[in-house]
Amino acid sequence: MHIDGWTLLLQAVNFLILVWLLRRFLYRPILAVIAERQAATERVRTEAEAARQAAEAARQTLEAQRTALPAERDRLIAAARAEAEAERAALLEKARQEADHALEEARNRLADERAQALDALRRHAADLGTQLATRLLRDAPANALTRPLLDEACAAVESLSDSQRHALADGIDPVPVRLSAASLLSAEDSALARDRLAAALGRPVALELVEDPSLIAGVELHFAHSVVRRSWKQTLAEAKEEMTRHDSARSAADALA
Amino acid sequence: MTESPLTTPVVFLLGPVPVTLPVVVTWGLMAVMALGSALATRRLRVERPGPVQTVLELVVESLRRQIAETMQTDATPFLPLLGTLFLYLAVANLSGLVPGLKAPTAFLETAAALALVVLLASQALGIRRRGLWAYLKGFAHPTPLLLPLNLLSELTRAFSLSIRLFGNVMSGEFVIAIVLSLAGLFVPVPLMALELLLGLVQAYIFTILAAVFIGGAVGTIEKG
Repeated sequence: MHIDGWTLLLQAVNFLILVWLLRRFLYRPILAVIAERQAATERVRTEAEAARQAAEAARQTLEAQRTALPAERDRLIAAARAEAEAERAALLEKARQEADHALEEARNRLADERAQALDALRRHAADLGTQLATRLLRDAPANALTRPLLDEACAAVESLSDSQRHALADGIDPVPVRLSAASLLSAEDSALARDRLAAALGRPVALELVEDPSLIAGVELHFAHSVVRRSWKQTLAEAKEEMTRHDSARSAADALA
Repeated sequence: MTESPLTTPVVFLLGPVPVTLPVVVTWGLMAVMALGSALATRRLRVERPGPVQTVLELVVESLRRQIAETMQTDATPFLPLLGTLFLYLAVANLSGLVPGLKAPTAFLETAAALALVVLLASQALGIRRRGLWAYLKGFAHPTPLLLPLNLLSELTRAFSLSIRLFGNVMSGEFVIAIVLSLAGLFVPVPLMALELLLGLVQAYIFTILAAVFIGGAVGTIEKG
């Protein structure tokens, strides 16, 4: 058995050359294309995995939303109910307030109308009373009342202060005084009045006598700027005024009560 | 059948160098394999590869996977050497079935050359991967007393590798030649079919053993 060294060496070299050739023309291109395909596959797999994860995230989101739907529905219903309840309460309160307001207005209006009616009635009653008193007093003997009332008028002038009496005179000499009476005064009464007035004013007085039946009884002393009234007409008017004022105040008090 | 199967016929002389038959056949096989690879890998496509590309990818990927399973590591750095070893052995073994050709592996020089390449490659890769000192220390493992035996086993492994390949291929071809000379034209066909299988098995065994030797040298598997 003989081993040819040259053949052994050449075969070893041949094999190494073949290794280089196949590495150059077979393994490298095949491995490159396999690696490229694996990279592409991996890329597609990565994209698919990303898409799967996105789909899974979307599914979980939808699932969470679906799970939250009943709670959200209950919450919305509760909120709507609460809102409706609040609105209903507000409407009821508003209606109640409006009703109270209308009732109060009606009460006030009724009280006003009642007060007005009572006032009108009292005024009418006062008028009637005044008319009745006037009629009754007309039938009374006026002359019997004229002298005392004339005395009261003169006394009223006499009771004034000096300055007031000076103002009544107004610097005129003689002082013009119009004396109205329910019936013409007698000469004695007129002379008495002139004397007392002249004494009170400190000046002579020019007395003008006027008959005024509307006075019912009594007199009125008309100075240049003032009037001194002592007559039943005046008394009745004051009584009526006082009665009316008193009734109005009572009506207002009743309305407030 | 007049010549000895142990002789290596010289085809021609290249100066002082005798160019023998296995060398010439190997050149032919190299040309076929290199040209075939170059032609087949000219237009590779990532998507929708053709049938030839599919077969090539299948072969390369199967080789890489098999080597990786054997060496327990990434096979890409070892693929050119071990893959070429398998492909060359398969093509060389099967070339003996072609009428007029004689398998280069049926000559002891070819098997010895391949075993020598595997031996040197395992040493070089082991030193490069593990470092010279660590690699040399491995021969004294588990005890320095075994250093001579470990060194001897390196050589005997390569020797057995070459003898196994040479013996199987040579004997197969020799048996076929004897049967053919004795029985007639079609009688050795079953034996040729068996030889087809044996050629692929021997290529596989040689490659796997080489992978085991290199894996043991670089430390990815236990040294056998």
